[in-house]
Amino acid sequence: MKQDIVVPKLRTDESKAVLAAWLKDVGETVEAGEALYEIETDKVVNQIEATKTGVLEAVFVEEGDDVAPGQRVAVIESSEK
Amino acid sequence: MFTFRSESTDPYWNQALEEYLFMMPVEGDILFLWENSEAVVYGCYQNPFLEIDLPLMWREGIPVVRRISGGGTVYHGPGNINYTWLTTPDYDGVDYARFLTPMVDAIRSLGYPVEVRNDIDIYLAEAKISGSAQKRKKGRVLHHGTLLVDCDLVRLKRSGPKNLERRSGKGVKSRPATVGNLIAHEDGRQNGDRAKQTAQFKKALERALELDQAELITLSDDDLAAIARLKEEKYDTWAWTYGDAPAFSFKHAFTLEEAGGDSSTVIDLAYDAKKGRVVDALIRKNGVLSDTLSQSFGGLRLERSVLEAWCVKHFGNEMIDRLL
Repeated sequence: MKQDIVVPKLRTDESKAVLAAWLKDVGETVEAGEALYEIETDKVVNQIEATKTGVLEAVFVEEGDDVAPGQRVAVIESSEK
Repeated sequence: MFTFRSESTDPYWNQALEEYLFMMPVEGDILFLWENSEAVVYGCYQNPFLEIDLPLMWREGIPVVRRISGGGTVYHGPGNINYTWLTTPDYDGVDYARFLTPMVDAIRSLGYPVEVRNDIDIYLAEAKISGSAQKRKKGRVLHHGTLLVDCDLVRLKRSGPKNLERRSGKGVKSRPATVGNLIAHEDGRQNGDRAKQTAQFKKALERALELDQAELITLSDDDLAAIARLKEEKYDTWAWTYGDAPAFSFKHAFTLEEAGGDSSTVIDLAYDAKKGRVVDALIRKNGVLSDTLSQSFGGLRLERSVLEAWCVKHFGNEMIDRLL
């Protein structure tokens, strides 16, 4: 089952975020609760964890790219429902 | 509330200490004040090659430190106090007021009419005296900030980047602001008792924050060894400090005078760098592409000793401020 990874809600509607770093490579297995990527907004570096275990199938933004809340940035192929 | 007394002013050790306490399982908040010897500390996802006068820092041996939180580049040194506030938040998203409101109240109680601006900064009149940043990881929040009490603002300002027209690239940008000290001097210069005034202010602020009543964290030998390892294996390494740097491009032309001043050579240097290394370089001497220079510069690690050795080999001097 494919699970979209979307950018969480930020501090304010005006807040801009940068996807600062991917902490996993495409093709790598990610455990639920494991750190997947970091975003920076309003001087906060926020480590985002995977909510399900699976394989990081694809990423759609590069490190350093601007992202918006709700934006799909990756997809995980998960065996979990 | 817990607190800690850091006796060290080693900027790498203090970053390691902060991260270690951040991940330490503690029921309750940890808040402590600490000081660094002179250093430039930049945000985790900034580009140090765009934000800092690296040739100057390297030449003078001033530590360049990459921290784990976001935000811009700050100057640490005598007369600046740092504070770190660690908590397990009961909220989602980002909250600065939770930390800044009590900090501002404490400073105000000491007679300084400061206020929060831009949600993140603390100002005294029109001067920014404190900036802050955060890191959120595994259900914990690290909030920290600087407090310019009686700092040498000339030294602070000169650490910023020079010749920015030479470089462009990715990375979180610093937001320039007019900075000032909490303890201002009418003539704009420090009055010779910086250490005393800073120590007095620090003690008074600790009392205002009721840290004298907080439970003191004592670190075991194992804790101290782990912090020392974190310093040695992470914060005080080229890999952490420069090895993740975002991509940037550099372009600069300069003239080399031959000994005796009879002739000169114009060098056109252009290169792309990523993760602290030159990826591609094109170097022209008097308009003619030099394969030897270009190829020898390609792949170099952007590090003082490496760049100096390259300069000495090809030009006979250590002119690295022309290469960055």
